[in-house]
Amino acid sequence: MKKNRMPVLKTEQLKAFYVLYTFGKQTVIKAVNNVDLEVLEDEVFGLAGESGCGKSTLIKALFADINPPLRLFGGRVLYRIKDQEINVTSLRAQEKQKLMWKFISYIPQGSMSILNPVRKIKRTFKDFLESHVGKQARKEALEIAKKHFGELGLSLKVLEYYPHQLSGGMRQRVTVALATLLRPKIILADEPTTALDVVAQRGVIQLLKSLQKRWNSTVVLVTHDMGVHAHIADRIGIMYAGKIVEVATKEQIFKNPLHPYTKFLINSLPRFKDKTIRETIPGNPPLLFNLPSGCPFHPRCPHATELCVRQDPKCIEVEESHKIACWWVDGKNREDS
Amino acid sequence: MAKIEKIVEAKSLTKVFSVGSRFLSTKIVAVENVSFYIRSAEIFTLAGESGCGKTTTAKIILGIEEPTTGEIIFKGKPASIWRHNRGEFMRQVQPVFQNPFETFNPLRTVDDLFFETVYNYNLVQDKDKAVDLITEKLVLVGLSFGEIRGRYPSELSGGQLQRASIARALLTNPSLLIADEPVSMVDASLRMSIINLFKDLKKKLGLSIFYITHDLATAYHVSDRIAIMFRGNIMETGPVEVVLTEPKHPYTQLLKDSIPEPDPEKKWDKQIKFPEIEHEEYLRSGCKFAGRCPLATDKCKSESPKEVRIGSVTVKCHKYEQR
Repeated sequence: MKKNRMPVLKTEQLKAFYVLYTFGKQTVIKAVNNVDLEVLEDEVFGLAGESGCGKSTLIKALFADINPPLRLFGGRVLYRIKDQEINVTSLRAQEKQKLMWKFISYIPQGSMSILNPVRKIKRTFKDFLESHVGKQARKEALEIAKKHFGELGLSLKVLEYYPHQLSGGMRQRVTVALATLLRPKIILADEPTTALDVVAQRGVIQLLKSLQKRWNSTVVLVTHDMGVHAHIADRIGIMYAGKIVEVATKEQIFKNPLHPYTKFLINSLPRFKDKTIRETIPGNPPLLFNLPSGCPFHPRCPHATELCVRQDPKCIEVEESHKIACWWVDGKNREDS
Repeated sequence: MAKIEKIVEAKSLTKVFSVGSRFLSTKIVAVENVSFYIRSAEIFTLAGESGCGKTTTAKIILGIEEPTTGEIIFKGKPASIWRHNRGEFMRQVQPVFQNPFETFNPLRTVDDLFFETVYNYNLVQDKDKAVDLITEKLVLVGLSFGEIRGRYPSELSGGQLQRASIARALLTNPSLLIADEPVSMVDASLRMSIINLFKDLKKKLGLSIFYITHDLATAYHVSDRIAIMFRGNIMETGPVEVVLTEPKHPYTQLLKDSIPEPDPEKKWDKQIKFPEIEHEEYLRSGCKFAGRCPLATDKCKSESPKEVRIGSVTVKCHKYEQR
């Protein structure tokens, strides 16, 4: 493992809430609540959690794509570009646009449907290059696209097809190719394999990993499939009810999970050659507009104490590269401080 | 040995769809000569990648699609006879769908749908008895009537809704449940609780479940027997422990190898071949998997393999034919 890697993407006490008005009543959905996150260069950072825990919203915020009804309630998102930290949330729209796709790119959820169904794949690539590189790229567009496809090991035939002619896995890999055309430093991928079967999923994951290795870029991968994380991620962040509850290396998360929620999550995974009934998490995930007091996991936690109900724990480093937000683990030390 | 009752039997089902205009149509064989049976109190899994004809098979069993050739035999009577008694058939065979948020009408409360099922099938006469019946079924899946009364689908979590959807299917005391990807929309943490629920229902009610999935890890946990489907053909079928621990067919081997196991020490090292265009594989003559198979020979590309029985497993592959 390489040492002294710099964080390339950072958030500081990021708060992004959805504000909705229904029948004149205001509802605040705390989708990203006080998130401190550091993503290092040249790594795959996996983000896991139940659906509706704010994973996708966090990715949106990292991409600085905060539009109503999503609003920023505090905190910053920092990119590190050429040894300078830039606060993206304060940038103007034009400056932000310059960074998009060149420095940071985003593969949204259900991205298979981004391809225009009545245009050939090559036309989509042409349009993309024209609007992000400039008119002069028009002539070379096809060449650039071909070169890129060759590099990713995709067949050049695909450029001549319409999206509906491709299988789901192929379409998803074309989308990955499109998002990485300008060689971004950071690739944010939001559930890129959810709708795919295991074989196609393997193809997409292997493609992402090979890209990351070749260009030493950073991938932030969101998926609720812990098996995928076990294969590709270097570090994993576990999210629960809008908060990051545990951040550690892959080995630490799978071998030595500390947070009770992570423990349940790892224990509930189905494994081969073991047909015993697996323990599952009791209760249901909390609603983000009506969070319980204190630690959001306390109604489902078997170790909850009075302190958990009263106060929300901070995410603190307990071992080397292992951060956790829980009163139960190492509780005594925390109460003193 | 007592005779084991086959609750449903599919006999060489074939379903052909035509794609394109009336004159320039190509024929896609979505399901090709598929035969299998489900015993009573058994969970049978049909697994395969997306677009392999799993859902079409389920629809044929439910009677939503008519097979082009072949027939379904349910409880000893062919589907053509059951057609005259559709109500009774629907009472016995109930579906559970993939997306619980689409199963329930978002503009109506969840209990509304329960009452509707009770009245449609004329299960009980008055409202108090209906509430008792609904409560009884909800308790089976680990919910209570209070949790769904007056609530809209958007107010419940995916796991709760999927449980409610299973409870609704149980109202008519069915003997076969057709579950089409019931856990793919449910969170990883709640997925296992639904899987455990299926096992529980099988044991308590003697229910047969036709479980359709692409997730082999859950299939391994829940099912008794499994069939692996690829492009409309069943490639391998047998007891789940045998099929998934010692896969015989190259496709099953690829599938098993591609399951991301939650173990950080296991990694994929091989790069694999992918289809670029789905149609090509459907239209391929001979073995459908020949284009991607590492062991493919000329014979595989021209001739369809026959089913070969090896021990408790049936495989459709030329590799095993000579023996």
